[in-house]
Amino acid sequence: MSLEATLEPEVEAAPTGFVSWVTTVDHKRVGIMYLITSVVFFAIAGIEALLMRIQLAVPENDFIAPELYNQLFTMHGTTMVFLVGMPLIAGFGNYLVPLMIGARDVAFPRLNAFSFWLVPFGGLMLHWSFLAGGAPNAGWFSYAPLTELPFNLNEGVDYWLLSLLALGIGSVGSAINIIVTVVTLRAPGMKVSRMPLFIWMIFVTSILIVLAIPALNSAIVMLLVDRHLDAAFFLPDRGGSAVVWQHFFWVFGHPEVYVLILPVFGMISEIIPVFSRKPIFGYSFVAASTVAIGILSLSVWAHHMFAVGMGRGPDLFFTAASLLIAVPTGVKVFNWSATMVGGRIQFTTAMLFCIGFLIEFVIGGLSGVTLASAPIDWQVTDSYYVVAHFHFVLFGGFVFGMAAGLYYWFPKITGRMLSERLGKWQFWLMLIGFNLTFLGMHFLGFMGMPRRVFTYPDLPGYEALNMASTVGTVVIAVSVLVMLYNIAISLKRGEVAGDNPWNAWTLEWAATSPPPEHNFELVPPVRSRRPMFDLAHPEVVRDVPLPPDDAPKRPQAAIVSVVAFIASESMFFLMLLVAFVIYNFFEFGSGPGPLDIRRTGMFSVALFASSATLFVAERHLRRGNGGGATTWLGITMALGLVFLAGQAWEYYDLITAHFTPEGSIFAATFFTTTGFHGFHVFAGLLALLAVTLLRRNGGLGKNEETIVKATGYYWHFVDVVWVFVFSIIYLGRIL
Amino acid sequence: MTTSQALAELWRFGSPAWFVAIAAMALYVWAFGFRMGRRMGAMLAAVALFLIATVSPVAVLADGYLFSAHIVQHLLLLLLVPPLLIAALPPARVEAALTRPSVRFAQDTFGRAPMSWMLGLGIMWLWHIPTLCSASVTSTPAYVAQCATLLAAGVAFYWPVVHPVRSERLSAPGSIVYLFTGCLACTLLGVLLTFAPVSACPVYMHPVDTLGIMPLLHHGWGLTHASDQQLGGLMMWVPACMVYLAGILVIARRWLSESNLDVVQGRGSHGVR
Repeated sequence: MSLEATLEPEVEAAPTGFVSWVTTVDHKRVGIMYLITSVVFFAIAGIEALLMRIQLAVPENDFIAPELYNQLFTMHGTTMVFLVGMPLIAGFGNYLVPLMIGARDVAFPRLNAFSFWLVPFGGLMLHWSFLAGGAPNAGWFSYAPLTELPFNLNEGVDYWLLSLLALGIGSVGSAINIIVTVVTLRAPGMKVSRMPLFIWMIFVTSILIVLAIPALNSAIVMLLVDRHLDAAFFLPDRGGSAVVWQHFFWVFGHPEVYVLILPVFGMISEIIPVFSRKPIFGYSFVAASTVAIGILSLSVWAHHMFAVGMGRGPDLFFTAASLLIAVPTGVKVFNWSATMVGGRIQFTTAMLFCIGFLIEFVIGGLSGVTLASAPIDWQVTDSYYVVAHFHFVLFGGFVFGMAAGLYYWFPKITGRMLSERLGKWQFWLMLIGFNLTFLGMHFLGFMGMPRRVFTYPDLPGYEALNMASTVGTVVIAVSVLVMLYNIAISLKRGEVAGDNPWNAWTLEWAATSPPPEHNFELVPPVRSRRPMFDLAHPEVVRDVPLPPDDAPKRPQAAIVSVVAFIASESMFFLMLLVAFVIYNFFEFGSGPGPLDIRRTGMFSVALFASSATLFVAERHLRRGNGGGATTWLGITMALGLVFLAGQAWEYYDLITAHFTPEGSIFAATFFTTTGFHGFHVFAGLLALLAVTLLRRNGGLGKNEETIVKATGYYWHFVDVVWVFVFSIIYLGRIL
Repeated sequence: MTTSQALAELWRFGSPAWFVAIAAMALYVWAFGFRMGRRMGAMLAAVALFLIATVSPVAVLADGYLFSAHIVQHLLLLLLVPPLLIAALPPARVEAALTRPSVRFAQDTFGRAPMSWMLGLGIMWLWHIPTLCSASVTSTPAYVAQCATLLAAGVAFYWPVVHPVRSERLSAPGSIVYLFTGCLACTLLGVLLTFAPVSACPVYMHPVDTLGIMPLLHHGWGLTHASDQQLGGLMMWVPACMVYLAGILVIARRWLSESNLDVVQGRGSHGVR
């Protein structure tokens, strides 16, 4: 099938051309749009890097002014992480997950399209800051108090905060979609122990996204409250704590590193076996250790903060726990190497990038092990050694892995092969350019060159290493141009791929290249981890019966999605409540506020009662009494409204009594936590209202009971959160 | 006193815990017979860890000197002894006992998620309310109650995950979520203890030094009340989570190795080409 044919949707009256792309909900097209978006931003962030390297080519250079330099490194980091890394993962995830598990589409195609469109939206908003008075300039982790108004009047920080909020929502939406898709839509026979490793990794990644992004969101909203309502969460001179920002950011930031690298592990685990013509060595270890890495990554964030001075105890423990992550990760490297040993290795471009990944990632991992040790970290933190370390992990690891993925799956996505000749040019140029750029930075770091400084004095050795680095960047740029040229000509004149050009084993290769909108005419039976191998070698699996379709026994999509969403929201409220405890029960205590516990207690009863009435409504529904259900749903909403009215009354009294966020940390934490809870009650009310209205018109169909149940979960969750909020904020203060 | 002296001398050979340990061992042998094997090994390990928690220097230091030793005691009694105790039970006997309505009722009430989860994590949080924490050090009945409830809640917590009868266990993904959320709750308490500038257990603030070991703790080990509490919080935060994580790893591997066909395929390097 030619490419032009796939650009035309098969349904007759459907829109065509540009409009068809804007309005599409097909996971493959959404995936392609994600990939294109990330390539565009990769070019932008790459140009920013080039500009910085030109400035740093010679000592005492004045090509770029310091303020612009600050904006460039901030935008380079932010763009690479949030607008290149995350969309690339979402793009490959979206495109491949349904195909690899033999599904027709993701679980929620419309949510998928919405999640995607938040990426260009967030990206535009972030870059609009260049025109609106200056881009953010406080580094990709935006340490407070540098980002606070007294130190940073630049609106760039606000653009940074708001666009990251939008991008975060998009990422969580897309992650929930992938979780639900993997849990509910696998082909018959595809047990969890038969899922391709890429699916495993992207599944764990999605869970990490769901749990980690809310930590960033909580920090962002607190900083927004600081900047716009004049509170002082992160302003030490007014009773706040800048270190809290660091903790909150890295609670997100550290898992984020694994969010970026785990899907690449997954790709490598698919590609290396195919080009070694051997199954992966130690499937269950690779999969299970991913879970371990995911969990560990959530609890070692403080190793980014050794220089803060947390004390000997925390330093010791975080050193130990961080070193521990090297164990499952290191063993994975052995898994991949052992897969190659004794295999008939085919050195395709994809395989070359995998081998490049292995080598560069091991170097980056080893420098990571050194940084995990607090005393070494003190010596080299914020120097070019750190820059070298994370570029070896994120460029040598992430970008090399993604390039391998591109060469491997491009035939599936477009129906045409990328040129291997150009691919090899790209690989070698990128390998040389990359090492030229970043290897020397290790030494620059040891020699004491700090990162994020716009120029440097003419010290011995500095100029040579920096110049080499700049030349390397240009070589990388050339290799990227080779890649873009390769994509462009291969789209037009590339060799036609056929369904399974690599003789690979996973389900996506059973579909045509590119796959039709409905993906599969017929999903091959899944009797093992390698269904396409079984198809080619029926003698191996002849005796294995196809297990019965367990799809009806799987959890329902609505329930899985709402549980994942609640998990995400729980993390958000957990962080806000932790902030409340830190600010009010620890040293920053500011005396009891003017809270009227009795009045709020009464309104709380209304909220708790609404949970009970919702139970009654659900019971009516189960018994087929639609009218009763409507009545009780109405009562539930009325009780929710009573609670919100009570909160409004309380806010009015407090604000007229001049109890406002700028007055005290207690007031700021109070309004942030109860305010966001109130907002969630409001959202819950809207959800209940939507369900009630849709029910009246019969719009819910046979899923009515499940959907009411899922909405109910959310409503009960909001109530449970209030139990904690009320106990800690109101009752906690009288104890 | 030096560290090695402290480790050698600070034992409580007269503690009633010995009686409890011996009685438990005797009861076990009486009920299930004496046969060396994995189950007996688990029981012996459980009793040994129980004794480390209650009569070794850990117990002596936990008795008014060090908050971190107090946490070690918690971790032993809540996280390590209970799964070993459960592993010591013969499945057939448990299955038989479960046919009795009273046992079945007890299991369904306390030994099922989410109740068991709330018991296991709740007990840990409960004993860290500053007043209760201090009471468990100053009053013997409170101390005994603490040890007993920690053990009981620990058994309840682990019951659905390492149930002797396989078919009664939580599913593999269920167990992973169960242990993972346990790790989160543990981490949260650890974080609060680590970074709390106020005393989480005021009784350790000014120890009455009847043993004359304060100089060792202060100067030899370099522990102040603040750094001691930090150490305790970190114990709860990092090693405790590792226990859950180890469980998760074991369960995940077992879950993934179910498909035996792939093992056949995995032999040799025969490929498609």
